[in-house]
Amino acid sequence: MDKMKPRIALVIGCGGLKCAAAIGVLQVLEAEALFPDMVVGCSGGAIFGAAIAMGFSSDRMIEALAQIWTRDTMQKLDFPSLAKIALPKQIGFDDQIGILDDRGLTNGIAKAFGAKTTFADTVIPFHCLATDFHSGEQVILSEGNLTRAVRASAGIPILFKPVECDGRLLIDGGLSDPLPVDVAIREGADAIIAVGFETPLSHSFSSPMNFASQMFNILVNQLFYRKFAFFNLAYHSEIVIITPQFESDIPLNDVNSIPFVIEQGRKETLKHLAHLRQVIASKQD
Amino acid sequence: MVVTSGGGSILGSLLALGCDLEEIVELYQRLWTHEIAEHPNRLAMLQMVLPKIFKAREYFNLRDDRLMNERLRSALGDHSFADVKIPLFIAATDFRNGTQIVISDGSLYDAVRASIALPLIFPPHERGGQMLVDGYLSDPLPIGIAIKEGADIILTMGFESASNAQRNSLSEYILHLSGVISNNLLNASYAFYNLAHHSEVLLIMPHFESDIQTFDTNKLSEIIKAGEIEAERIMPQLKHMVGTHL
Repeated sequence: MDKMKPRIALVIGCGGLKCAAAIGVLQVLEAEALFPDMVVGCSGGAIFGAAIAMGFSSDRMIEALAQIWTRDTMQKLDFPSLAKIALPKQIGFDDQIGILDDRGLTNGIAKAFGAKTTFADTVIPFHCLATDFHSGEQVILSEGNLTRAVRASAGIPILFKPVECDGRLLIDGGLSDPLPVDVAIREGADAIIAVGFETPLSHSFSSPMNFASQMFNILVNQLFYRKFAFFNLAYHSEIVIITPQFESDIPLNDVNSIPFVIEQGRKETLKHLAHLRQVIASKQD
Repeated sequence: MVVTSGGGSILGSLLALGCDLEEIVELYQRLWTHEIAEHPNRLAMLQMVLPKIFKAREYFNLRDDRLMNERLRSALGDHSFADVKIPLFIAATDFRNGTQIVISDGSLYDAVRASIALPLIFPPHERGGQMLVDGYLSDPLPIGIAIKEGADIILTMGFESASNAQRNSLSEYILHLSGVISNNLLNASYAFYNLAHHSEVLLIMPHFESDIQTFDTNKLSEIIKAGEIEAERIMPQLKHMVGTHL
């Protein structure tokens, strides 16, 4: 009988443009003839996860990204939301708040993956993680429209409006699980390559929004560390965690630093390659 | 030893100072009421509407903290950690780098004030050059401190923030979102400690009939009752753990 081929999962956590490091991770894996059998993505990681699952080349992924994070995506304001924020009592406040006009983001994702593409069209099984705005629970999206799922997962709250999906309001998956390793475990992965990111913090705060985002970043980082500690303890023989390092934060629209980000992903993966081979070998017995 | 974070720090300090339970309830009822969060910080309103003109320099808070500080001062007086009868550790968070800060010396007021500084609501507390905020931000369940301090058995209580209420403004929206993440952080902490220290940690999870909001001091007897019921339920297990550690 042939040796069992271990099922390899690539999990990409939240980290905005830093998630492009996943391209570097994939380059190293492919050079070693280690091809993921499933991809799991969260937030920025959902964009790259979907691209990898669709079988895009590195160049096409970078092109897709440039379509998504345009100047318009990051700068065009959503005036109805601003009005609700400024005059909540007069106009009426609701949960559909996003200070940026989200048509740029939604259309960019649709252009990159195709508005009608579904999970069934991916080359590698793909799972995408979002958060239920009301209950705060993680929501795993594995079927239906791909664009909608990626848009939901990447919906950084307050910046972008939540997405309505089967009667639920969905926001960024990072708020419930910045490194969704458990999804890969539930889906039966034998070896898991998890790419996770810390969010750099600020040292001074010049506006209420700076102050609020510092609070969110501290919480999401802590959630990341806690999940990391848990998975390390519970699944240490199945999992290789790769955390590409960046000295300063990479802004969402800084498309020029993508080659550098990819290189950091490649470098960090090379450091873990021996461990990864060992994990995979242990699953073949 | 007593380890506390956030609102628990007020109760924890009084307990460590050796106050009896009736005294603690009485003090807490006078201290922690709606009034302490009723006074808006007018500067915050200007900072939100005209951020370019009224720059938030160091921090941003929606509520005026003077009444809360006054009441905390009168409850804790000039007591320091040297006065406690039971070793006390109070957790806060360094807002600049997000790490947990454990306070176990100096003024009790300083430590408690730092630990209950809910970001966005109350201003952070400066202590030894650090800008400190509520301990829940770095760890809503500071079991790690008790483990480091050598505890054999750890009784722990953690609470999810309830948020069934409708959100009527951006600040309520932001607080809801921070509750979403901190609840997930609490659950991730439970999961970790359950796995790593399952033989030392005993979780007390009181069940409340109604939603308890931050200043529902009038529901105190209901809250205490829920704690009692849960403590009685876990008592056999606690006795067993004490037995195995003897």
